[in-house]
Amino acid sequence: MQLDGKTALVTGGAKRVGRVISLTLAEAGANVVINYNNSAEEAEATAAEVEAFGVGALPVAADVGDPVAVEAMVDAAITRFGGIDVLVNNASTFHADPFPTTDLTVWNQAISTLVNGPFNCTNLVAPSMLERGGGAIVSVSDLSAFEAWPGYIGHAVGKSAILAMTRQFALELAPTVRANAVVFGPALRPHDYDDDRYQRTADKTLLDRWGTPEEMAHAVKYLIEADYVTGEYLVIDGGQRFGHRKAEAG
Amino acid sequence: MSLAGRAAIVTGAARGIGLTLARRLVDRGMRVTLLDRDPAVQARAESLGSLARGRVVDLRDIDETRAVAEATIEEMDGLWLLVNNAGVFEKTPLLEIDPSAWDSMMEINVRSMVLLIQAAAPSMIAGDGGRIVNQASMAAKLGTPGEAHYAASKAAVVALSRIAAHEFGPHQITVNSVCPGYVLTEMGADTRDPRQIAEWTATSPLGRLATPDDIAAAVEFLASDEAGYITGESLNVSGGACTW
Ligand SMILES: NC(=O)c1ccc[n+]([C@@H]2O[C@H](COP(=O)([O-])OP(=O)(O)OC[C@H]3O[C@@H](n4cnc5c(N)ncnc54)[C@H](O)[C@@H]3O)[C@@H](O)[C@H]2O)c1
Repeated sequence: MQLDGKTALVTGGAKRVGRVISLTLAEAGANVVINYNNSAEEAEATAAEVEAFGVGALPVAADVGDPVAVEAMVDAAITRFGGIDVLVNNASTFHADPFPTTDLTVWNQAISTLVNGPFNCTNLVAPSMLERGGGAIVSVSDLSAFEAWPGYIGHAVGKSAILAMTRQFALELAPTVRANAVVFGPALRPHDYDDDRYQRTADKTLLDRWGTPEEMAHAVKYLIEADYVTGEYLVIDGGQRFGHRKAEAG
Repeated sequence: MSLAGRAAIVTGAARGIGLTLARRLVDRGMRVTLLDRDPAVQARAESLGSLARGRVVDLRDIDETRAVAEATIEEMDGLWLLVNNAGVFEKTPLLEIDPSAWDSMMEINVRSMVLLIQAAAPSMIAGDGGRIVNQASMAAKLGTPGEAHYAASKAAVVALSRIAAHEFGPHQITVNSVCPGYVLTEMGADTRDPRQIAEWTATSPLGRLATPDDIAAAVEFLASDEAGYITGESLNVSGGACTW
């Protein structure tokens, strides 16, 4: 699929990596619906950056875990742009919680955003894609889909579910719509990483460095354009998942 | 940044996926050397214009392969992209695979890649990094009866790519493999019939086979600067037939 003249919905598209995905798709000629939950100011700023590429931008608030809010968002997008061709399920939370626990807040939020979110968005956007006779979905996972992370049970289960959903979307919506996942490694420094932790993460990758949001966004763009790739996950992690015994290499 | 002006080697480029890929890279402005044992590679390269050049080499021959690879890299003044695409396919039940047929398959499908990587990586290390893309196959992960030697050779390509990614990572050289689904090239044309083609088509939820250009687009993506954080990966271009 060529992005020029199409319309894309990017969840969590206002800031950080989601913002760069929005801008990358805009640069390729797509109108962008910028979904956000709490980041209204960032969404407005990103919308202005999107419009600078000469395409349309529509910031819309919606908690992706809430089907009523998602339906309203999709309706607004279709009213403005006539339909949706591309969906990027990028919205994510990232909270640690001890396990076992007596407080289900973090678990419920992770499942709501990472499992119900992509389900709701895809479920409600797919009819427009099927009606238009084409569509591409890319959902964002991370390495916790393959390995256990201490304290991140809800997150890891949610990111694993994204791979399962991707396969299901690919099969259920074929041949009209393709669905793929990207699995991000270190892309953008979390707020709570000190220099030492930042460097340790870089050292775990085969390339000895962090990736960039641009590299992540470019992989999303490739999967939107790759007409014979579906049900696939593409890992953008500098080879980190193969670096588990890197200290012994040489 | 664009690929224009950079140097690439594509093996097995006299026809099929390799030729389509070479054409695509030339279209992007790359300088491309096409290697093949088929002498037709010269004329095919000429048809691509002044950015392309063909060289005849039997990649089973160790000395010849080394000599041609080194001369090519010197002539191109370094290398950004090596695409190990040459390969052969054969269908034989496991109980009938002759050891010499096994060796021969491994020589072209795997060993030739090692020789070319050994020739190419030092110049990438000396330069600003580079990209190595190895043609594997969905057979590495799924495969069908009669393909034991082919599937094993392609699984070896996936593993080889991963270790190469490890060893060359610090030099910003990425190494990935591509796992195509079925493409109706001349490869294996004598072993397939319409019923099989219908069955293969049905393995993809998209309801079609791959085109050489689907595969070439994946290689072009992995060759780009922007794909510089993807390494050790095996990318399926299988129309959803393989999802891991
Ligand atoms: N066609 C498919 O369905 C398919 C599927 C998965 C993977 N692949 C892989 O893609 C690659 C290209 O396949 P294709 O379909 O274009 O096949 P092809 O047979 O059309 O092309 C292969 C080329 O490699 C060359 N070659 C073979 N042995 C050689 C040697 N010893 N020295 C030099 N050159 C040699 C051949 O002359 C030919 O030009 C192969 O590695 C193949 O295994 C193909």
